[in-house]
Amino acid sequence: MEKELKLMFDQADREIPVSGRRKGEAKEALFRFEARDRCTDICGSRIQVVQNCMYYMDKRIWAAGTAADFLLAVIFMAMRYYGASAGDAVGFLMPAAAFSGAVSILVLSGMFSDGMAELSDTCYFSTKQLACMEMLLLGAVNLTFLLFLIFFAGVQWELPFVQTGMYAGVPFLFSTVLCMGTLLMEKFRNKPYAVTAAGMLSSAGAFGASFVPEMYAAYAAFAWGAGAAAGGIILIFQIRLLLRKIGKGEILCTE
Amino acid sequence: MHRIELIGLEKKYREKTAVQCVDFCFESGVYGLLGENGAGKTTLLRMISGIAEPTKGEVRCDGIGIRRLGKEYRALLGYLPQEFGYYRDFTAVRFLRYMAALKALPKKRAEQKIEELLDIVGLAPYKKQKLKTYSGGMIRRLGIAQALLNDPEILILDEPTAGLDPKERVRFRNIISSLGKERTVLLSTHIVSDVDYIADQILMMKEGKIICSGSQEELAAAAGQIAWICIVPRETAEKLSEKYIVSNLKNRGSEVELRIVSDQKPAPDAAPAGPALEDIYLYLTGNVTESLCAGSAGSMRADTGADTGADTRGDMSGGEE
Repeated sequence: MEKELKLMFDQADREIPVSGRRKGEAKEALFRFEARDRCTDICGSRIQVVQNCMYYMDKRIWAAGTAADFLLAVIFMAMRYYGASAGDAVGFLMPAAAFSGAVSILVLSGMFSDGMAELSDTCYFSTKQLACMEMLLLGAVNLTFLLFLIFFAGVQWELPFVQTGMYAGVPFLFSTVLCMGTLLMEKFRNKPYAVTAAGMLSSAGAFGASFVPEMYAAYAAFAWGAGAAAGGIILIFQIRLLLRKIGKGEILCTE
Repeated sequence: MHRIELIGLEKKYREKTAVQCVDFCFESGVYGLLGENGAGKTTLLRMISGIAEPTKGEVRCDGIGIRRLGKEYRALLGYLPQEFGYYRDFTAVRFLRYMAALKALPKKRAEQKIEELLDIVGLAPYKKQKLKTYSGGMIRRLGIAQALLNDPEILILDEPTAGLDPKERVRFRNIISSLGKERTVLLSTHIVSDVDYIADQILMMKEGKIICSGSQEELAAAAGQIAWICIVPRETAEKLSEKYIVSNLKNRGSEVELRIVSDQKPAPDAAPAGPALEDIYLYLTGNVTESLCAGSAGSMRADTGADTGADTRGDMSGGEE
């Protein structure tokens, strides 16, 4: 009797086609359902998780970066107060923007140089997600800072906004691209001094460029535009490369 | 209980293949991953943790790729890396709170768990000290504590006893033994005694491959007679040391007692000894033999690849083919 039943079941198994894809989907849905059941103790919302992480994380490098931007803004305002010319304002704007770009990449590199990236990749948010959040936040901080400089210069020294935007944006992009390129190099991975050196170099370069009269000529507008476009494209490419490397685990481990 | 399957897993870094074509299945219990430095243990564990993306193959949990599962899989994990990163100016409590936040644990539950774990790992008296004042062993214990914060069902520990003194090692072994009953614990080490006592199943890795796997009894039975004790004069001892693997050497006045690992009797008056795990490890990592690693198929099969030109499946439970 049992043998007959077994034969009947075997025959039914052969005759009923089972879709591998649907089977996989059902398995995955069951796993996620079970995981949700198991995870009732996890924080209610993603925003709450982010808030908790930000509350307990090491904020010193963020504080230093924000303080540096704030200090540059104060110096800029002080320059106006002490009667600096438009030329002086632009001469300060370019290296300040470059420095801000370098600082933001240095803050980002802190994720990988402290050895925590490998561990945090096994937590609720993957390191890729954390890096995206950090870059968004850094972007917001930098944008606020740059917009302040541009509008302040535009209002106080009556400089055209687009032109001033180029004078700030291009050095910022150039510095960010250089520092990000350093971060992506395997040789300098996990070495914050390399990113710092790249940042200082780019800031010095922007400072030196601010003394070149040809930079402000009308015929240089095309070069500025091309520089902004190229910088933006390269940065996008670098960010994609960074996220790909994080996804593969290459940049996460200290050895 | 979850089933972790490694399917044709491979990891290449430019010219070097760190892990070669590994097929294995882990279920509940403690698995000891034994191998020398550079064998590929850390790379394998990183792939199982989802940190490193395999060049080929896949890691599945309950039949589903772990990359697809994402945070649901990470919620099951507790991981202690070999190079454990931490913030030197954090206290132990703050560090564990940060890790609890990263693991999305609610604050109240996290506080309870932190107190409990600090007691278990013996760091409660030092919880308010900065981590830069901690010894290597204390840092390691803190690492074990953070791995257990979310009550993981899959615990992955990479060289967890590095830097621990014998007393701490014993404490650690007892903790892991108790955890292994309801969980899957993967523990990698190059120290044989770490897995000798606590691992239910032992996997030996060499040059990126799992060359053998099984319980200690199975490995010993399949190894056969490979351990010998002989007491010889010093000059003879030197010659034997050059020719054979010596796992232990003890001076006895003008003579030397050698424990030799070899599949052949090294000296006429050598007495056979039961192979310890260390002997098997030395034998396999020093000199892989086809006969030792051939075995029958089963859920514990390890594919060693085609470099010997023979079928060298590493299941030691089923005997030779």
